[in-house]
Amino acid sequence: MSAVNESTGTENTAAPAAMNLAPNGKPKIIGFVCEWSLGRNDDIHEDGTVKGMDHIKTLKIPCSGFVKTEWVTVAFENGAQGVFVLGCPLGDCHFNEGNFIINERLEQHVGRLTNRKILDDKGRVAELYLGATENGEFFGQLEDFTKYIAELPPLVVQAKKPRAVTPKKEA
Amino acid sequence: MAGYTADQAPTSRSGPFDRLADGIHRGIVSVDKAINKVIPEEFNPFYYLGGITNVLWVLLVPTGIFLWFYYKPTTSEAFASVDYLTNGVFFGNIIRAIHRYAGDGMIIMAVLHMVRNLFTDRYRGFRDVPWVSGVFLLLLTGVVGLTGYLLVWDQRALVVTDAIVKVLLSLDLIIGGLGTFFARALLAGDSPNNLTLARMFFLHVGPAVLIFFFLWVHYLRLHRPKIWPPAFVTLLTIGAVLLVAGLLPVEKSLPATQPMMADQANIFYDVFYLWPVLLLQTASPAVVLGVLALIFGALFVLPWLPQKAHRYVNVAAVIPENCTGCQLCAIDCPFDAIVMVAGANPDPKRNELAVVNDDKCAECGICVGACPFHAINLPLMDEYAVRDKVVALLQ
Repeated sequence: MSAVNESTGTENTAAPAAMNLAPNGKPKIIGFVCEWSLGRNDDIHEDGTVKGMDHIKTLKIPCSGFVKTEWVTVAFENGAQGVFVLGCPLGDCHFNEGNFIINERLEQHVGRLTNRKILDDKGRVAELYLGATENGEFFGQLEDFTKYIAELPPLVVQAKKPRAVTPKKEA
Repeated sequence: MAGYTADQAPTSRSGPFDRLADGIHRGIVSVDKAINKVIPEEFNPFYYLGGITNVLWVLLVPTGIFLWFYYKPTTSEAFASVDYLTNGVFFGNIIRAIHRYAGDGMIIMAVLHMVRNLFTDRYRGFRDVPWVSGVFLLLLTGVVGLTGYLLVWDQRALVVTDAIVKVLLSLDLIIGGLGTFFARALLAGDSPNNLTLARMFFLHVGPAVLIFFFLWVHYLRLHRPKIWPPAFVTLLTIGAVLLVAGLLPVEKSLPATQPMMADQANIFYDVFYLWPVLLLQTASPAVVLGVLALIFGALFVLPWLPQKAHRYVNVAAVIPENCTGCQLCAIDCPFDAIVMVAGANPDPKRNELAVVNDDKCAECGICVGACPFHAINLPLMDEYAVRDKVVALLQ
């Protein structure tokens, strides 16, 4: 995937490859996983990595409606190439409305980010709505998402001001 | 730090019952997905089982009032009045069939609604009030349906009355005289007489009115309860009832005043309401009473039976200094757990302050996502900790 990285002639090439790519050469992806949809299954390691997909790190949350849209921006500012939110199937949220609510919030927020040219593609934010037993669908959709992100030019978002407490850098 | 500790995890799935429940959950999800492939998911009837029950209930009330205009609750005239409203009144047979089949549909949908919520783990914790009021609604629906079959006062009603009296008399085994008291109170005497049907009529309408009260309790903890399914599902439900009512008129029967039918196997029993009567043909009254008591007793205590659901550990906490009183969290909360209190904000320029009702809070965090001012937070999943975790995961 580093070939894609060098072939793009925009200012994005200034970004160090390591910032955008995980050790396995695939774009870094952050996922917010509702613990009622697929969160109770064993598809995700203790540290939040999806089994067999080391570039995807996930955070377990009580409901997809918990996600603050601010965290999506923070993830992109810190080198994420894609963000997904995993919730229960639409209409079947454990907390009745959480997935509809995050659906609306993300639609607004991603539209805002693309209008400001912070994001180059709305497809960088994905919403998956899967029931508690749809493991096959989960891996299939994540593979498609990874492929889609890998074909896009690497994304670098400059934070306007330091938003997060930056952890100690290594090396 | 973010994340639940092991003993606060929502469920631990290891025992044989958990595996069974998981299997049923799997089945429910696959049925949902199969339907979603055919019709859009916002019209999936399985997401609106409670709403469909309510549609059927709303069908039952006006048709019941219509039947009430013609009904005479005395043993000598009841059958004749029902016969007249079926055959003599314009569209009377259709209205009666709608009342009958909507009642059947109501208990089927109520049980499906219950099973679905049970196996998708939506019955305990902050959902104890909806669950218990729902069990009351199921009990009331059963009583209303059962007494409804007595009002016709045909030969089936005689058999059902006999069954009810037998089951009540078996209460004598527990407390001497109690069963006899109830049976005499029900029949207004030792055997069916002219006052009996007035009592049955009250037992048909009185619990039906109570259903409205328990529906109110049932919806009390929801901000936007799905009382009505989408128009497509509503029309589908009403259409299905009309279709069945038109195709299958209510069966003919013989009045109770005639000598009993020689072949009692020909009497038609509605399994959805009269299954205890059918059970009584093979089991003793005490067994039937025990089965009913066991089912409803288990349903009533079910929210507290499994290991304790985590509750009150992660209730949303408002930070008053940051709250601007904008109401976004109160609007988004699906459980109506946030109230805006006027005049409580520490900043005098700001009018209202969000206050969380701990009993209603489901600890889902939807309010945290709603607040742009960092004024509400889940104590176990601090929003800044989650943000730092996002940053840390990307290093």
